[in-house]
Amino acid sequence: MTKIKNKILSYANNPIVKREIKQTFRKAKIFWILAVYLFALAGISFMVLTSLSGTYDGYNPMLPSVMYFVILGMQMLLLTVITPISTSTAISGEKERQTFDLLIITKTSMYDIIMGKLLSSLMITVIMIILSMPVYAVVFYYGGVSVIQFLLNQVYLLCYTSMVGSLGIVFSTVMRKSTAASTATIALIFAMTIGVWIAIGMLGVMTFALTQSEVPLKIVCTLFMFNPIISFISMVDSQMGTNASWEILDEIGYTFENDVIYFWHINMLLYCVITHFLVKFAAKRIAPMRKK
Amino acid sequence: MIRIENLTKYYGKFKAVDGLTLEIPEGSVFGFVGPNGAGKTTTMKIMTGLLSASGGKITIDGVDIIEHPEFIGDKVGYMPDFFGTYDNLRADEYLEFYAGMYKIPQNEVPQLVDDLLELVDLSEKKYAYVDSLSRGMKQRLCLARSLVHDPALLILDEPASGLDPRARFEMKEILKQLKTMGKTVIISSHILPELAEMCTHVGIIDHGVVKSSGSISEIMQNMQKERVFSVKTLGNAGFDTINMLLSELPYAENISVNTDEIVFSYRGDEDSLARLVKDIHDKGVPLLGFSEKQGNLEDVFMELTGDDENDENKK
Repeated sequence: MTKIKNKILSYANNPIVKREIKQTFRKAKIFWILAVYLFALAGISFMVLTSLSGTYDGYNPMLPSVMYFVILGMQMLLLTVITPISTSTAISGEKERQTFDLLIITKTSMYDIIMGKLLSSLMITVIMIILSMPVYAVVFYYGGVSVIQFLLNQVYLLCYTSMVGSLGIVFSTVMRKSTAASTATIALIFAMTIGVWIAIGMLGVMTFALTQSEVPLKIVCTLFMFNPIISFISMVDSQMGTNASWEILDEIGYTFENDVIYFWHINMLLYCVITHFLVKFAAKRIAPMRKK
Repeated sequence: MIRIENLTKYYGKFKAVDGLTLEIPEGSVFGFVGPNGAGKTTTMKIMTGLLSASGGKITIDGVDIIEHPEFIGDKVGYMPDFFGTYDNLRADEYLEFYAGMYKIPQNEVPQLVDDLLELVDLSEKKYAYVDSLSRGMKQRLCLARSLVHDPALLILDEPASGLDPRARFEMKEILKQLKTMGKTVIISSHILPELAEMCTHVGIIDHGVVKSSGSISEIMQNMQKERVFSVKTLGNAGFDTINMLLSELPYAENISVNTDEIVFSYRGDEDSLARLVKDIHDKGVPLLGFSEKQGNLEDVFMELTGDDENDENKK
C-alpha cells in the first residue's frame, strides 16, 4: 500500500508534469483548444436534442441514451485527434528546442521522463472530461443514464487516451520532426479504427473471389479486438442492454457466465498494458548511453 | 582527480577520438583547446553520458563512469554550447524544474534557487521570464542550472560563445568564483587569451589526440626551446648596427628586422646578452627597449595544430 502511495506521490511530484502544466496554461492556445472542444461537444448535443425532440409529440424515451452516446462518441473522437497532436511533440519538441540533452543527463529516469510527458497530456484530458460535465448534465436532467456507468465510461476514455498518448510519444522518440510524429500517430489510430474495417472488407472481397467462402470469423474477431469502434459498441451494449459485442466474443470462444464483464472492460485493461509497454519502449529509445 | 585513459570514439568508420589520455587535477580550471572537429565536444559528451565510448576509461573520484554511468548525474554538471530554454517559465521556475529533475528535496529548493541566482548575479531577474533575458543572462542562468545538484565537476562547452565583451567579463568572474569554491571545471573555448587568463591547466587536442597538456607554464616551457628578444630604438635608428652586432653574437639566430623592432632568438648565456646591450649603447644607438617576448597560448596552439593542417593541405 505504501509502495502504491509513494508511486502516486512520485507521479504527482513529477517535475515535468508541473512544468508542462505551467507552460501550457500560460499560453492562449490551450484555451482556444478547450473552447473549440466544448463548442463542438455542445453544438452536436444541441443538434441531437433538437432533432430527436422534434420527432415526438411528448417525451422521447430514446433521447437521453442517444444523446449520451453521441456526446461520448464525440468526446472520444475529439480526444483521438487532440491527444496525439500534443504528445507527438513530447520528445521531438524537446530536441527541436535543444533542451533534450539537459533533460536526459539529470537523475530522473527515462521512464519517469516519458511518464511525465504522458501524465501532463492526461491532465489535459481530465480537464476536458470535467469541462464536458455541463454538457452531460443535460442528459442527466432527462435521466436514464447511471452515474456509475458514466464514471466508468470516463475511466475507459482515460485508458484509451493514455494508449493514444503513449503512441504519440513513441513516434516522437522515433521521428526527428514533430509534424512527422503527429502525422504517423494519427495515421496509426486511423488504421486501428477505420482502417481495420476497410481491411476486413477488402479481405472479404478477395477471399470470396478466390475461395467462394467468407473470411474466418476468428480472424475478423482478432482484428476487432484492438478496434476502438467495437469497444464503443460494447459500451453502448452495457448501457442499452443489447449484446452485439457479446455475440462476437462468443463466436471466438469467450463465453461469460454473467453480464458483468463486457468487451470494453477487457479493452480498458488491454489499453493499460499497451500503454505500459509503449512507455517502457519509449524510455529505452531515449536512454542516452544507447547512442552509438 | 579526473583520469581519461585511452578514450576512443568511432562514428561509423571515422575515428573522432583516438586513444585520448589526459589527467585533470582536482580543483583545477582545465582549458580544452583544439580546432573545429578535434574531438573536444565528443569527449565532453562522453563524460556527461550523452554518448557512449567505443573504448577506454574515464575515472572521476575513482569511479569509472563508462562502466557506471549511473554516477554521472551526481558528479557532473554540463553546459552545452547550444542550449534551449523553455517559453513561459520564469528564471526561478526554470531552476526549480531542474532541481526537481535532480531530485533535490523540496524544502531545500527555494534557498538553493536564491543562492544560485545570487552566484550568477541574476537575483534581480528572479521573476523574469527566461525568454525575456538577454543571451548573456541566459548563459548565466544555464550555468546556474548546471550547479543545481552541486556537482564536483563542471563541463562547460564554449561558455563565452556569442557573448559581448561585458557579458564575457561577467562570465569570467563567475568562473573565478567557482574556482575558489573548489569545483573542477573543464572549459572548451576558442578564445585562447581568455583561456590563458582563466585556466590553471590546458589540454590541446587535435584529430582526437592530445598534443600537449599540463599547466600553462609547463606547456610554454616545453614549447619554447629558445628565448626570443625584442629590441626597440628611438625613431628606429641604428637597426643596421644592431643587426651587425647580433650576427657576431654566438647563439643569436632568426634575426628579423620588423617595422619598429628587431626580433631574434637566443640560446646563450646572460653575460653575453648583457655585453650586447652595452655594445649597442656604446655604438651610440638610442636604445628604447630590450625585452624578452613571452610566448602565448595562441602560438603554442598554432604550432601544435599547424603541421596536421599543412599535411591536410598537401593532400
